[in-house]
Parts: sequence; C-alpha cells; structure tokens
Amino acid sequence: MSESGNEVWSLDMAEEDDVLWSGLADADQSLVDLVNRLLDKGVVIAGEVTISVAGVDLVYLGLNALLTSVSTAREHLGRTAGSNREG
Amino acid sequence: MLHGYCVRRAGEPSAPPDLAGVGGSSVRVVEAEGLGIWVSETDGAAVNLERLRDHERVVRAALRSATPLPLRFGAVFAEEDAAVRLLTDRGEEFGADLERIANRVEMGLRIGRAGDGEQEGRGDGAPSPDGEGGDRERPGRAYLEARRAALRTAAAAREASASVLDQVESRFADLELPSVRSIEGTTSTIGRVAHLVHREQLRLYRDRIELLQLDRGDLRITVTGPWAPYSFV
Repeated sequence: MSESGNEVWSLDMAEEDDVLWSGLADADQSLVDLVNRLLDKGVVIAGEVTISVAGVDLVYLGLNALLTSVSTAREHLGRTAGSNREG
Repeated sequence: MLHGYCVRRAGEPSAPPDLAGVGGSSVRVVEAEGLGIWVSETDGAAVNLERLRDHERVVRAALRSATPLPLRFGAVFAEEDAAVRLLTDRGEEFGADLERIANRVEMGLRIGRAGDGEQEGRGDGAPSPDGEGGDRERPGRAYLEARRAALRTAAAAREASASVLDQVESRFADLELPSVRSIEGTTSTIGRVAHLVHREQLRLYRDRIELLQLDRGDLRITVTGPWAPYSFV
C-alpha cells in the first residue's frame, strides 16, 4: 500500500482527487478498470427511453464504434499473424 | 437531450452546484416516485475518454454522500419526462436495489504475477506451421497438433488463474462480501475481483489486502476504488 493509503480509502475525497487507485497502478490498466465498468456494467436503460430521438441514439452509436474498434484491432492482429502462414 | 448518471433516493444531498457533467454541462436531479436521477444536458456527441471521465466524476460525487445505482454510460433521455417515466416504470426495482447496496461501495482488485510483463502473449493464438520443429512432410498434421497443444496450454493457464483467484477470495471469506470475478489470463493480469464492501468494513478490508500483499509476494495486487457498485446492479 502507498503512504497515502488513508486518502485512498477515505470517502471524503477532494474534488480534484481524480485518481483513486492505490499502489502502482499503471495508466493503461486503470483505464481498463474505468472503461470496463462504465461501458459493460451498471444499470442498463433499454428500449424507448434511450432510443427516443428519431429512433437513433448518437451516444449509443458512438459506443458501438468504440467497442468495434477494439475488437477489430484484435481481430486484425490475429489475422496478420495468421496471414504469415498463408503467404 | 439529457445524459443520465445514476439513481438515488429523493431528498438525499443533491448534486453540488459547481459539479460539471459530460461536456461541462451542469448536473441536476430529476425526482419522481421517491427517487432522484442525476442528469445533465448533452448534445449526444460520441463517447470518448474525456466523457467517460466526466461521467465517472459525477457518479463519484454522488457516492460521497450516499451510494447510488450507477447507470451504464450511454443512457440518454429525449426530455425530462422520459427520465420521470423511467423512475415510474422501474421504481420498485430501483428501490430494492438501493436497499441492497445502501452504505456499501465497490472495491476492485486486479491480480497479476509479480515481475510479469516480459513473457510472450497469452498463448491461445494459432500456431505457425512454419515454426521450427514442425513436420515438414505433413504440415497440416503438424499444424493441428500444435494447435491442440496451444489450446491445452491455454486451458491449463485458465485453470491456474482461477485457482489463484480462489486463493485470493478465500482471504475474504469470513467477511461474506458479495463478489464478482473475471479471469483474464494475460501476461499483465491474471484476473479481477470486485467486492461489495460496507463502508464500516473498509478499514478491515484494507488491512486484509495489506496482509494479502505481504503474504503473497508472488502476486501483484492493485486495489481500485471506492466505486459506485457498477458490478452489483
């Protein structure tokens, strides 16, 4: 645990205390923790409530684009590795 | 359009007046059915990292005074009536969930192996038939055998990861914390565990983690939180 462990555990955090991570969390991994929760967990509001603006929810489309870009990148990497044996 | 952040009980401390939401908008609370949903105006622009951080900042502001039900990023309401309708339609469910998570926060543990990061990938990729030691006379057969070996290795690694997470979770057994786990098995991360911890148990929980870190020098354990209970709603 870091020296500032007590701050990490306090729920009365200063507004600018944007980083809650304790220990030596690296930035990439902390980002994964954040994105996993915000995009993959939490209460899902489905149906007409969210998609009520001309039948299209721009934020939702944005999410799909983001998720696709990650999986596409992985797929692309796999395919690049695979294409070596074909070529 | 309104961007939704989280749901709490009506009458609980409201959003601080200077709290900025997604895109710098000001946050307000829409109340109905004894519940309050935190919202702010949005132009519906596509998600980016800055907006995710804006969203989390607002949810965390709510968490400081009372544990909220966090909404998944992307909940947008055409107008205030739509937000009211959500509280009306799902008020009973939200009330029960708020009761269940009251005074609790989510803590995250990320478990890795100490000193990892220099090894090769996760080992579940397709083998290369051109690889050294392959059966050059029968490349198809060599490929299948290599693939079979790779899949077995991946399964064994997954089992080993699950076993490590079992050992970690057993250290918290007596606290009877609700938990959710995910196995990753990458070089940097064996897996993640989320615990739902009562605020009064936080100090005990911290001590327990410190002890675990001291006992398990072979593991790299990182703690994140407190979060709103994203993994438990």
